[in-house]
Amino acid sequence: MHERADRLPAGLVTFDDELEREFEARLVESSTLAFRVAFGVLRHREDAEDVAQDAFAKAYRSFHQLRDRERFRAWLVRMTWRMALDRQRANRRRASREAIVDTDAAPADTVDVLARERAERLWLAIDALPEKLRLVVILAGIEGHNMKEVAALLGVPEGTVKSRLFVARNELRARLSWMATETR
Amino acid sequence: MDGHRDALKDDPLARDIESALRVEPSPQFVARVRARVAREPLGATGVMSWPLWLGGAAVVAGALALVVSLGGPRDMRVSDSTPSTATSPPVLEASRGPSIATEPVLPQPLVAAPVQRVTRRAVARIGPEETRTNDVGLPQVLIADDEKRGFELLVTELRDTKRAAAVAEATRGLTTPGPPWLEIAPVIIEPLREVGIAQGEAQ
Repeated sequence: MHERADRLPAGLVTFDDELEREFEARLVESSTLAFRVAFGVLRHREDAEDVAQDAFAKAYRSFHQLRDRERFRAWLVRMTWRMALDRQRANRRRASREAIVDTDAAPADTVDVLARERAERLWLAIDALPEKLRLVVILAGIEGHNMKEVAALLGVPEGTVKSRLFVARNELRARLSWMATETR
Repeated sequence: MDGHRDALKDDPLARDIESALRVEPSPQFVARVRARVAREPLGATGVMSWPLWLGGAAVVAGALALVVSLGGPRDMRVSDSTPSTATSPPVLEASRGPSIATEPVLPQPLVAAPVQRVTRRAVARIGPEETRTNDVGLPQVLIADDEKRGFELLVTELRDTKRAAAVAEATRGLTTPGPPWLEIAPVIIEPLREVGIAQGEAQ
């Protein structure tokens, strides 16, 4: 990156350096956000890191095209979300193929089984939500985002976020209570 | 933080979701992203190169304009500044004998130089050394080789004053007798009679 910049004329290098400094700042402030968005879809740490890396690389390639740099986080969230969904679909296809061969993998962990089951049910309920509601739930659950921040990340009015979150929570409660009664 | 947010925090479901998403990436994550980004093609290339692109586009446009202006209909004009000595016909070079090789002067009308299209503008831009010529494919030699050779010899010898004087001396007393057997009787043309009137009267 810097080697290539060294070969360029001085004026251009200055501009390039500015751009890279700006990207570095965005990377530091948004890395956890991207990771958590990916984790909210994939629930697998390594996969989430891979997807977040890919999203940052993609963002880097197109960073110069982003007119409003203040929209970087929203842009990154959308990219990460899409890429995580793609990875999830690929993982599901692979898992369905591997399940035929390896049916009794992943033995039960004895540590805090109840908490794990509860979290598992929560994620199942979240996964069952429509995509728009799911994204709102995850963004609202990340880094203490309030309605305004979620609205800014999604590029939708705050009222839309409120209504989506309201509907999503109601659906989640209904599903979780149904799951709870099913397991009893 | 607004009141709604506080209300959400009180919601056990919201707390469960937050705790489920409170996952930190590994400490090497940012470093790995940096390394990954460093391997990527320079994202700023497009931005940095836009002045270069602009300059390149201007150069290409200028070159295109030059090509269009040189290849346009103005090329059909033959300039008076056509360099007649710029291209000497190859036929002439090959036919020169050793006796006239030291005097390579040949009258211009004998051999037609390749017709050249020279645009004044092109000459002005390119410079005197690089005169742009376009051969239109017309024949270069308009007279036969032997005639040309004979004429060259004649010209060369005429330049030699002694030989010229000798030739003048030798040809001074010569007469050109006509063929003795050819006698042409004088043609006498009589004035026309009024044939038309006579014919009209006969009819």
